Amino acid sequence: MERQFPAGIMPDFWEMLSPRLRENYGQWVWHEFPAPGVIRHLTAAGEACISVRVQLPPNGYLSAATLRVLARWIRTYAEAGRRTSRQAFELVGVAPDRLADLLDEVRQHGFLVGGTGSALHQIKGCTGFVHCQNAAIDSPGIMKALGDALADEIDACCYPAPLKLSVSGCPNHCGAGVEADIGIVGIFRDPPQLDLQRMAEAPPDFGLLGRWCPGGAIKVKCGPEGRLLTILEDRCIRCTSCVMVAPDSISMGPRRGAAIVVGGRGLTGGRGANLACMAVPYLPAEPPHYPAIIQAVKRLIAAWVTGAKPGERVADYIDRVGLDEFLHQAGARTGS
Amino acid sequence: MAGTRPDDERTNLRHAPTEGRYPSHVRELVASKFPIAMYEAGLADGTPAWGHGGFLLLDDLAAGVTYRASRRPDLVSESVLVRVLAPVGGWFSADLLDRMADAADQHGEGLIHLTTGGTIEIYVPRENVMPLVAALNDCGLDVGSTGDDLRGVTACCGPARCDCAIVDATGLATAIGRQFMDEQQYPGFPHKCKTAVAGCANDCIRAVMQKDHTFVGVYRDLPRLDQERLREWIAGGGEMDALMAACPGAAIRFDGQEAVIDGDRCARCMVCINRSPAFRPGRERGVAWVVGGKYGCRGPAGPMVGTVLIPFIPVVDGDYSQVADVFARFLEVWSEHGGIKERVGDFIVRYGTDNILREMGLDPEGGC
Repeated sequence: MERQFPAGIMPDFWEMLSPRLRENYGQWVWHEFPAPGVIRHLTAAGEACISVRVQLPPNGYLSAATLRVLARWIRTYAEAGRRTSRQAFELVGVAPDRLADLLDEVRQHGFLVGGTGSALHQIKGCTGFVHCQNAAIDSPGIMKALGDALADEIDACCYPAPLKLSVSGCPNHCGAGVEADIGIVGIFRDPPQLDLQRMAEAPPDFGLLGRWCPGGAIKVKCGPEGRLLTILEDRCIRCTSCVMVAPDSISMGPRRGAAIVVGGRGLTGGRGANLACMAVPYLPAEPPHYPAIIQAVKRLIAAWVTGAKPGERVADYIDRVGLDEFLHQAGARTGS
Repeated sequence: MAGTRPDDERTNLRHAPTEGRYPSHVRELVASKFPIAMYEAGLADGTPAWGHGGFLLLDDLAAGVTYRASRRPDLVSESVLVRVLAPVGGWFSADLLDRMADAADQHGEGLIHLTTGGTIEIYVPRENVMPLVAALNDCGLDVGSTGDDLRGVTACCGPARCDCAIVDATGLATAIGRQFMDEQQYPGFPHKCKTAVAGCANDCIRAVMQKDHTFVGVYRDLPRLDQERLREWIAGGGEMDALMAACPGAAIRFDGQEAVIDGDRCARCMVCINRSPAFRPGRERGVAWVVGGKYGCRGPAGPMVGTVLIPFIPVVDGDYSQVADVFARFLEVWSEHGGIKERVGDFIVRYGTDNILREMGLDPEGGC
């Protein structure tokens, strides 16, 4: 029979589960963290399920060979695998007597085990220069540099509470910088540059350009020579929306860098979710080691570790002491 | 191995970080056929070597294939990828990983990307797209989730492994994905539309900030409290004072023997349940529907945390029909009244939740 495209297949997660995970579906009542990177779930009947969290390379890039390694680890040591929403990988249902062997093998392979509980979790981010046209900074490179600088804090639970770092290459935030405890965001410092001749040759959707601009910075005038677009620089927030609409005639200027945002919070603490707010508006992004970004992040972490109560996430600490005080402690207050 | 510099003759990797303890993306790129020279060129220039791309319409695939143009045609002309709808909850079997690796090696560039949005992307030369899609179909996977369609539905790990899951997040997400399959493969909405199911109000997947639609597992009665288990937990070192202080509604009182939860103050969150095994979620369960989350600085409202559209939709015995019904109604209203390239968040800011509920045939005062 000839193939039909699209096939219309919704993948079935149930087929990924082992018989034991199916049997205990919905039966788990508690979990604990016996070691960094190791989670132990328990049923009321005393059944246990050990998961091992492996930190994956920045932005979840995996060669086919690495995918086969993960498959082999599942076959040899566990029952199933899963990618987490932060681009880490968990081996689920690890046999207790094989746990030590698995941890050895993962480390020998050059991957880290960790990122559970009050540690640095998997650093999440977008594709950056690897596969995006819009990135101001190379997020995977920054994630790698951050990970190297903070590697000892991934497999030691030395923080007051979990710490999540995310890196977005541009203000579109595919890398989730705004949701993290500490987020790094690529920024453009110049207003968009217009090529009016190209715009006249191939007119973009002027209506959408105006509607989409969050700052109300784009003005379109109709004149005898057609529509003329101007950008009010004071209102422009350098978000790149207009570039997405008219990539052929609008581009971002050459000056780029990183901003740091702090205090993103999910629903976990029962105090409502909020997005991270601006802490450091500009830092130079210098590959391959990004010293200015690393230093600023380390200072923010140190201020939080020193001041926070046990269990207090960055956002909750900021709620208690105030953003200004937190930035002052971190030496990150820009003043003026 | 970690700590060694990949030996690659295709390009000079001096701008890419390759040493150190943290796993390296460069090592993965080098182990594949991906044109890493483009990455290096971008790093050297301080701006990506890629240009704007778009969506490819191939054979009958209206969604699922996308490409980036190249600003360096001397290196490569373009880069094409297929976006794969992933099993929800991030679950993978060893077999599926192996078969994906085989498909990516045989037809693609041998590189797989686990995206922040929850889908899987496989890089592939344009001429190999259809053989790759056929191979993925044979593994029980399909492509979609590009352009103005319903993006791949995702979920947290769900009851297969989690002790907090209040609803069957993975089951519900798969049911939504099945029912709205065409919407994931044929773009036709005002803008992209991301959807996820979070098993409980911990929302570990941070869906209320990332997704246009989040169904969050909630309970409507009070947490179940096992007094004997609580005394055991305290005797074992459990910190009751810290637990009471963490409760956002200050709803828990404890006289040294028994705890009482004040129903008027309890926010039905997960804080006490997370901290002590003596507290378990209530039994009257359903989902809260949160709409309008988005990260990006796009659209007039910018980044938004979602807002509750319907606080409680009952889910009883795995019957998701009521959720699917109201979701379909919302998609119709948004399709009709949403502006071109207007995300759900911007739409609700402009149109108002009351108006949306009325258009959906619901009473804004009444709920479900």
